[in-house]
Amino acid sequence: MIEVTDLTKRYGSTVAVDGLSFQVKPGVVTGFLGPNGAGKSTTMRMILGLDRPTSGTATINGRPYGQHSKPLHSVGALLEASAVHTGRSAYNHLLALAQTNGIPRSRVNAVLEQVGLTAVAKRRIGAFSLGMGQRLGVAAALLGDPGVLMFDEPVNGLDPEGIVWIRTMLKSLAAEGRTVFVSSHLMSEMALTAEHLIVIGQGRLIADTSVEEFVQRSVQNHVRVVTPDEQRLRAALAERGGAVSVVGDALAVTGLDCRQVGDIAGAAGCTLHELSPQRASLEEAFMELTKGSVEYRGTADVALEGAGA
Amino acid sequence: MTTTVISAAPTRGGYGGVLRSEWTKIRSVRSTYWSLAAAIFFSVGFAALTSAITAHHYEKYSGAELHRQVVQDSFDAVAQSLSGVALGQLALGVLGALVISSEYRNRMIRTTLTAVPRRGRIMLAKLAVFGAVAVLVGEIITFLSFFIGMAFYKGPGLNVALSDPGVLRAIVATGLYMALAGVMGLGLGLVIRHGAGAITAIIGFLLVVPALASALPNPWDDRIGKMLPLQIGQQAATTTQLHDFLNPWVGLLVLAIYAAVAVAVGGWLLRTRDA
Repeated sequence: MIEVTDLTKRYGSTVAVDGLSFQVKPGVVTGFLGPNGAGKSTTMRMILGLDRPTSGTATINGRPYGQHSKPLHSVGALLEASAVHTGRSAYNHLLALAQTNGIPRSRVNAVLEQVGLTAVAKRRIGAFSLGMGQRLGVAAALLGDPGVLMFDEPVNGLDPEGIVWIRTMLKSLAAEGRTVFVSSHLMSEMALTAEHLIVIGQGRLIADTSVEEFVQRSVQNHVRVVTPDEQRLRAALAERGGAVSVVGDALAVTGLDCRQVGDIAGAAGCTLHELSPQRASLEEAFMELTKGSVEYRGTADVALEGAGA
Repeated sequence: MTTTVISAAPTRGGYGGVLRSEWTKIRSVRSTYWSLAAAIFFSVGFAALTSAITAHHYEKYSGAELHRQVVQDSFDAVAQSLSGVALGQLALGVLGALVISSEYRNRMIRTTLTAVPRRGRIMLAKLAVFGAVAVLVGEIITFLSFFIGMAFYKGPGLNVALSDPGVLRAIVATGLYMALAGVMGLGLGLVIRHGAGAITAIIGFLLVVPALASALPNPWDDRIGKMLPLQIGQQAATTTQLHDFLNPWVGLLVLAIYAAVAVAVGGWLLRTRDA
């Protein structure tokens, strides 16, 4: 269990994390979602005691990270897979970590086996591919067989096979009853992996909800209707509580579903050329939600918003 | 995923575990070996070269004239044979700075501090492991330099024995001097964290500051200079002590205090700064 209370981090006048509070519970994969620069990595570093909060607290199993004398037994973390000495072998890298927490050598071999790096264990990490480096990072996180696991953007730069491997592993770790906390800036990835979501933007909490609920709530469903009898249909729909707006040569109806719109059109005797449900993608929903909190916005956004409407 | 059958239960750990870990780290990268080998090669090589040249110079003389020349030059066979200390102190100082800054450069420090959140322990373990390596390498350099130098000085008959007064002390003290330069580098690395900055600082401390002090008006050049690395190193290496300067052991103690201050400040910053 990870517990964050009123966590705040300021760098000079910049507020990276702003009064953040949430809990991460065991047994499910919890996604930590936000655009780049939202404060995800800073929050994770504070949970791990690497950065000192300006105010507020972060605890793991009820204690601040710094008070765990052999923390690898309770917490495993993969922050940056590249944070290694590239001249060292995978085995020695893991051995050095294991020794700090009194973890036996046999366990080093076991985690190497678990992530599929046994064959290259004696090779320099510098010669590893991105995917192998990521597997090594996962191996390091699993060393102490911890109940709490944290991964910062674990699928970044991975090939499809690697992504599926990470996804499967995260789910099975959670299924074993562990607390699994995974950050990402990709909503679509989290929709496939996580059950619960913590969404932040500009260091503030935007949503703390199940993935299902998030999708339901934030995806703007509407019904697209094309009709030659526009005036009549609009009046009929409005009478039954539908909100109608004009999008190009079609009407966008919210508040009513496809069947209701069809029935109303039939009753009013309107000809329909098109009647289709429209669902915004998860990415669009996520962008909509975090619209006000993106640090740097490209001009392409304007075009996207027009296309997505 | 397969179920784990191998236990991760701790067998050992605590401070000993952190020490073992730092030892694993330093011995498991090739750069440790070639940088130490380079430090030994260049320091001993330089010492051998100057000994060879000096010995050749005295071979012209013999008997009473040789004696007169030696006195006139205030020649000290031991100090001459240890002239490689000028390079050795730099090599170990730079290595000390790199031990820390390289962990910051590749951000391995975050992985390290996640495994050991008690930062004081990490610092002490690094100090102990690097300090032991530095003492070993410093002594290898001085003993090798001494024996090679004496082989050259045998020609003109100027060689001294290890058992002669002050000889063993000079060799051991000069090795420790270089090791302390290394520890100073480690302390500066902790404070500065960036390789280039830390290396500049240790070179400044070992070479530039003493050079500036020697430009001060008399008597301040000696009063300040005797408290600085260059003179402390020369005092450690000499068997004919110069009266105005610090006793070799007092000199080393002064240097140890500088290094301890750097390490203490670095340790305090390590505990308070974000990693």
